[in-house]
Amino acid sequence: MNKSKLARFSAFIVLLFFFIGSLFPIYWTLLTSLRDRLDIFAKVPKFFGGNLTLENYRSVISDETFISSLKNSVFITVLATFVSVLVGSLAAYALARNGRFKSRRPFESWMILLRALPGIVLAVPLYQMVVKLGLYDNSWALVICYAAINLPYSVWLMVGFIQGIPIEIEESAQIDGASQFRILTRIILPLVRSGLGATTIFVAMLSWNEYLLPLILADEGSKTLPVYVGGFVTSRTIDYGAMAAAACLCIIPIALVTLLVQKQLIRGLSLGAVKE
Amino acid sequence: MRSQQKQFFERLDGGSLKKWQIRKTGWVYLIPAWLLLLAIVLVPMFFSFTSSFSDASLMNSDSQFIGFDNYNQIFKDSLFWEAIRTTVIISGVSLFIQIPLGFFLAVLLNMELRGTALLRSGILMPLLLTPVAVGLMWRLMMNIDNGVINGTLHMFGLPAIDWLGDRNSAILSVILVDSWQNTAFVMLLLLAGLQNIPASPIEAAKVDGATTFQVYRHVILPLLAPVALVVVMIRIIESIKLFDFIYILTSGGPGTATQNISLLDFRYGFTFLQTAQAAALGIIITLSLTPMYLLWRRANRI
Amino acid sequence: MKAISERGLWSSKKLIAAVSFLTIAALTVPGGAATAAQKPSSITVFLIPSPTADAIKARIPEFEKESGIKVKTVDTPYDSAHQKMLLSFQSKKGSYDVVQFDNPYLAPFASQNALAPLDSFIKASKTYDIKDFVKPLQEYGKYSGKTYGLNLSTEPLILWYRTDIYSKLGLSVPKTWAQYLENAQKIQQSGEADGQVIANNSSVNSWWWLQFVWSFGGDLTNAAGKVIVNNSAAVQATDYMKSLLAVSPKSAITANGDDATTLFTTQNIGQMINYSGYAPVILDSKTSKFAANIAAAPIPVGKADITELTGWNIGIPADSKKKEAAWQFLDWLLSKENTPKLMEAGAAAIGRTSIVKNPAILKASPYIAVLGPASVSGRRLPALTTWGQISFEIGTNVQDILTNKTTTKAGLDKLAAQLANTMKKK
Repeated sequence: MNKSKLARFSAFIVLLFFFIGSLFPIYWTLLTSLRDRLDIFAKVPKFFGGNLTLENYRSVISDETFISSLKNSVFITVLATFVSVLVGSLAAYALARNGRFKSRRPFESWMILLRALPGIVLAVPLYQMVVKLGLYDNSWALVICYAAINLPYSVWLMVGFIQGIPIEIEESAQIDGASQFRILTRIILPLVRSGLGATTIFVAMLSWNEYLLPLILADEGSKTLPVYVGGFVTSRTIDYGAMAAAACLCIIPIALVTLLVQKQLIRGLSLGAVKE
Repeated sequence: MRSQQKQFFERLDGGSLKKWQIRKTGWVYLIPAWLLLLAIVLVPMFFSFTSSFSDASLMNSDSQFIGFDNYNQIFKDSLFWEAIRTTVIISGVSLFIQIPLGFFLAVLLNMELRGTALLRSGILMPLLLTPVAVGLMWRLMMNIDNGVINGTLHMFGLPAIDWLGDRNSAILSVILVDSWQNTAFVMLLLLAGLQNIPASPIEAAKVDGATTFQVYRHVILPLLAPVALVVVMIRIIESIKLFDFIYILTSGGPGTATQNISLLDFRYGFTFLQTAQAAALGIIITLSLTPMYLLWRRANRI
Repeated sequence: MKAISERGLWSSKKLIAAVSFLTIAALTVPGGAATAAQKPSSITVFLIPSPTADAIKARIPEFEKESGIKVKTVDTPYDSAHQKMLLSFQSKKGSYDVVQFDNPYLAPFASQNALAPLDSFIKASKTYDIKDFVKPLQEYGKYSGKTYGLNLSTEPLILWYRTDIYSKLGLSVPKTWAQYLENAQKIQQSGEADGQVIANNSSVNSWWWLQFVWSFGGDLTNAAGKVIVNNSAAVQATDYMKSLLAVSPKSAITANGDDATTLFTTQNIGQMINYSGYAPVILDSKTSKFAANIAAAPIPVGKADITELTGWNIGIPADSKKKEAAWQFLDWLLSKENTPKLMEAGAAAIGRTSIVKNPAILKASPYIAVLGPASVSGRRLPALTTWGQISFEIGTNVQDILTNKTTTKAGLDKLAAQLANTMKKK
């Protein structure tokens, strides 16, 4: 048992190391948000303490553009993630099962290549389309756009997870007379909860941090948080303190969502999960 | 062990389901996805494709058909070949770090040690920071004169590193920041994949006396393969598309040392204002990923 | 609802909460442009985040009261602002009535007639008084003989220096580039501070490089239009830039304008060549450690006495449907009488003669005195539609030279070939 304990302990140490490494820049962002400009650029870095000030947070929170960007970001991300994962899971089911048969559906599998198109190539014609349709600076338009560009990922991630479920389970359900839809919702989806959770987190993250599309397709009305944070890079100076404060505030909602959804990751399926 | 496993895998693969039933309803499930993609991705992509054969730009309103000129110009442009080289280096090394590391972390986290939830949440945090902030904060930390990283090295008596000013370390810096953010992504999905694996084949293998290593090699990895392949494909694509934080961290510099193909595309479109040329490069990028994509399809038995 | 609840993410309680949240959000989140009704007497002003933009926003309430015209503003970060404007102009929807833009984009805007000529407005105005500007500034917003942009700020390259370091080492304000370098070397050797700092980052060093080339008697092209960026003047200028690196802080090689200012205001550096527009950051003790000991002077001269002139322009898009109201706003904002008020609100200085010779203003901000002579010898960046690509090519090649990836002559030869190619495009 000592060997196992040693293994578990060393695993813990390794994880701790990456934990600290991952969090240090975030911690530094937090520190920066609490400092004034002169302290931020001090030659000798102070890891803790120094003159801390809440001025940056005060100025960001009292900025009404921040509040409206926050509202927009939440609205757009929640809806876009929901749509993308929902539509994606449906399509994934069809592909995961259909793909095994002789009748291939080559086009849907090209889907993932679409994601390789650099944003700028998509953004310019999208802008022209959106303006022509009178949907410029419209939150709903952004929801649809986000859902669509993340669709290849939500589809193909779910395909991967669904393929891990043995098809005999569906077979027995079919023999019992269940319809396709029932099989999908009552049996498959609960079994891929972990995958569903992970895909949701991933798509939510991509949507929350999307920068180029809201930059080009929106002005003030539908401005989102990433664009708002980008606004601190003025053409004379970068207000690092306020930018860091905005960035920290920006992390909170998505971190909460991630933590909430992560609970689904822990407990796996009724078939049990892999354990060491 | 082998026959039980074989049976299990056979069952994953087709079987005696009523094929026609699935085929019929399956088609319906694809419609919403089709519609979304058509409207937002395919139509603009088509417009981009057609504009890549014109001289459309932000500098003038009327554009004319010029055939393959844009494409020829790109292939003659030394910036293009430099960018390919840079992309291969950055993406290649990043992948080499992120996939094994992410898998390793996923395995460790799957051990369900005490405090695992907290550790996992912490490791996921880098993915959540907004791109502008990632670029600016790392730029701040990597400053050779007053950045905290060199300040820390100094405290330990180590020499300062020119993270952003030296051509080679600039590439390393980009790889570092990318891995800092995206190893978590690999970990997240492989962990979910691991937890997706049912217990029975593993128990069966153990009962037959397999060692941990053999369990991984013959049971876990094959079952993890579908998810793992998607993860690799996604990382390759995203790595090539890496743009937001590189632009802020190094502006593609020093010189063009860290200018990857997506940054070059941005340059064509937004700095040079040549939108048609940017479209052409975008098409080239997408098409050049095709061989890899085909390999992936084969591996996935689609 | 049981099927959905089995998905695990959405228990019925959570679902109800989510739906109610979304409903509330949908009602409060603006649908966008469609719902923001535009009354006949209202205009939209496109701004780029900057102290000047903040000052404009501060002045708007007073304009709205006086004129009854509502003003809506839109902020877009610099890196995508002009591209967004171009996309908007090409769509011809009249989304913006007033646009703030950076002078290098005058050419791409004006060459496709995306901006409305302002000459008739200026002539008819009784309050604008364009004669209050010296000749270079009158030409600043002109393209092909027509004025497309008013001067929104006047920001020449000037010399910033530390008075305490100068007096400690017995240095005097340099009049030539040779003296500037000499000062820098003396400062560096004394160990008090780094000698000087400029921006070397490939995204912006073309601006500084061009200043040096002009000072040393060179240019992008000669009178016949041939590219001469590899002639002896340019080689000297580039070598000079290289020699400055030896007396700069180590991070100067990747510094942009903002970084250089940050370095100058937080570390011990004796001199800086940077735009006058950074004055608010440089001279405010809250953002500058050495504010009390910094002064400004005209830029040193070489063979030629040329000062690079930059600064914002502001104009009216050709597709705007409210040009009269837009001009009314511009005329009020930038009239001879109101410009000092704009500056008091925090905007960068505007080089009107009435301002740079105004005793009260000079008393409050002595550095403004430098703007007068700087404007007289002022020259703006080349008004070329391909400036974006030119600037990029200069920037990357010069940085290759500065980082010793290539020799000066080889690097400039490469640049010359690239520029010749680029400038052939329309």
